[in-house]
Amino acid sequence: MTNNIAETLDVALQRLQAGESLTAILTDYPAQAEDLRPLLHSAASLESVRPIKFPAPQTLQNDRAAFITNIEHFQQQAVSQTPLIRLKEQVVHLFPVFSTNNKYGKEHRRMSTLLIKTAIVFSLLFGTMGGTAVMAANSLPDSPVYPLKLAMEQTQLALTRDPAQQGELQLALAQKRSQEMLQMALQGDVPPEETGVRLQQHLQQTMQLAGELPEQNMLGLLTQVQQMTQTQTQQMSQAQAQASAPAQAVLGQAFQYMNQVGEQAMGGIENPHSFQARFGKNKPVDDPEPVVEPTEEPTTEPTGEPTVEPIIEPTEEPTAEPTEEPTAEPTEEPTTEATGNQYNKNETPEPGQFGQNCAGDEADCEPVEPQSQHQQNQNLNPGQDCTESGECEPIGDEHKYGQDDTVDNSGPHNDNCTEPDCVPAGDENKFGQEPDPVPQPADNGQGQQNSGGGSDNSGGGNGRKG
Amino acid sequence: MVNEIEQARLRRARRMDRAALTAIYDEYYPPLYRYIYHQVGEVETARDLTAELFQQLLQALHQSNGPTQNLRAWLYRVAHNLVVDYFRRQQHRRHLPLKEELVSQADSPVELAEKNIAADKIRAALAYLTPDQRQVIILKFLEEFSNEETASILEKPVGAVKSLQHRALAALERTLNRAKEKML
Repeated sequence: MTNNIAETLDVALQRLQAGESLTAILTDYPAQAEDLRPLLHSAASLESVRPIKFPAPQTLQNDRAAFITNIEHFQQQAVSQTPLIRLKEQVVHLFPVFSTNNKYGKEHRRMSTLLIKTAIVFSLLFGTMGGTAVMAANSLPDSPVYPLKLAMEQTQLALTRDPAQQGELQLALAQKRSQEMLQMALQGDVPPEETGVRLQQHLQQTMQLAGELPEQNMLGLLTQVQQMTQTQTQQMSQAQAQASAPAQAVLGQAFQYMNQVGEQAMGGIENPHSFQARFGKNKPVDDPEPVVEPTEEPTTEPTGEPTVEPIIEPTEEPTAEPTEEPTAEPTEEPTTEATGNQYNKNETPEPGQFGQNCAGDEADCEPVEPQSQHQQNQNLNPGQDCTESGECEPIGDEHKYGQDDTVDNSGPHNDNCTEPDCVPAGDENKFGQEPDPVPQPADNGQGQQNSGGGSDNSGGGNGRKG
Repeated sequence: MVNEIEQARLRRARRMDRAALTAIYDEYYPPLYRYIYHQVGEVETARDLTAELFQQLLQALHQSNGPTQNLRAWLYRVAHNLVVDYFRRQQHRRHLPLKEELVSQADSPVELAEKNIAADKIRAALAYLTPDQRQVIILKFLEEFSNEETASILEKPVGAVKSLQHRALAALERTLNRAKEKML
């Protein structure tokens, strides 16, 4: 109906504009005459606004002159600022669909264009980012995008809150580092040392996290560690045959370290409590200069490098006589002499020093690694009363401190022994000497020599008191 | 043929050819001024807006963003947008335009006053229409464009133009009736 009246009105308006009378027009549309009449009257009334007042002719001339001046102004300007813009304008001229200008109307405005451009931008943006991420994830340490890989890993670590998941993630990252080293070695490149350090750090973190987990979770993680290190060491041993000499050296270090960690993991599986004591929250804090809290029993846990062969031999000038205060104040400063000890200087935990931080229950505390030289130094503490270096054996706990089995540590001992074959008195389970109810005056002889022998491996703790 | 001549002139204008641009100005300035004047009812305002319209044409051609096919339709669309912007600004300013005296030597003062009153009423009623309705009324009844030409400028189908014309005249009639009732 509306369309009909619109059509009829249009025809009637054309007849009205052609000069026909309103009455004649309405006569031809009797059914719609009532509707058409006011509309045609309104259209006719528009004639009253038809007259136009133009500006003065001079004003029009001025406006025209101003327009021509503007033309000259634009003619003097460059077509466009840059070749890129010129190219864009040429493209837009040939393909108006690419036009982005909608300032002057709808001629070039198309929603589809905007959508297509948006889709292209998004696909390029996210496609490029995704491609870069994938490329970085598969990169090796010598790749330019390798830092991006590390950054993504760090982000992943930062976002992981659960210690168990963190441990698994650290282990997975350690495996990645190992694989990277293997790949580089097989390609003929030398894996950077930084990658080896990262491998050790990941494994160290894994072990520490494992020590803080509940026993069940800890065992699961340690099993994974043990399996991973076993697999990786096997691959490394195979890769070493094909690698260059420098690469072999780097792989060898990683191999050795992973072997150690694997053994520690195995030890943790067999003795979870000991492992937790060693790596858990109650593990001793590693300080650059170890300061052992005074306790009833001297702390002799070694923190030196585990790979150093134990030195069982006594010092050049073993102290044959007991020190001034053998055990009355056994651990007031038991490791102060460490400042002069080359192994104590390495108290800062190097990767691979797991198992050196034995603490907690002494009964459960067993060094995982072969006893180090430092350990032996500690072992010498109780038995440094000997003055002869030949046959005098330091006394200590044979189970803990690696003493020679041939020495009889049991029973009372002569505190004033000066003979080469004598055995200083000591607590057979602890540190060799029985506490003397009356502290002996300090002997400024041998004992002081011991204390001054910082570089001397026999510089035992008891001698330090002098 | 006419279209080809128009296209050739437009191509020259895109190269900032002075003769082509001047010809365009001379041809389109009067109708565009009228079109704008019918809506704003002021000489100076219509003059300013028309000058701005041709300035925008030069800028658009210089930036290769101007009309590519239909120059006239493009010019009327820009003129329409300028007028809409003008009214929008006027709404904020609450500015009452000065009444233009349509002086004719042939009219007596009484006739002149009656014509002015009638014209004012119609212009006031036109101001109540929507921009599209006002554009259809002016193009069809004052500029005497055909339905097809109006549809081309409005970028609407001819049927839509006819419907728009119907609604515009009905709205104009209602507005005039209300004004008449208030006068009584």
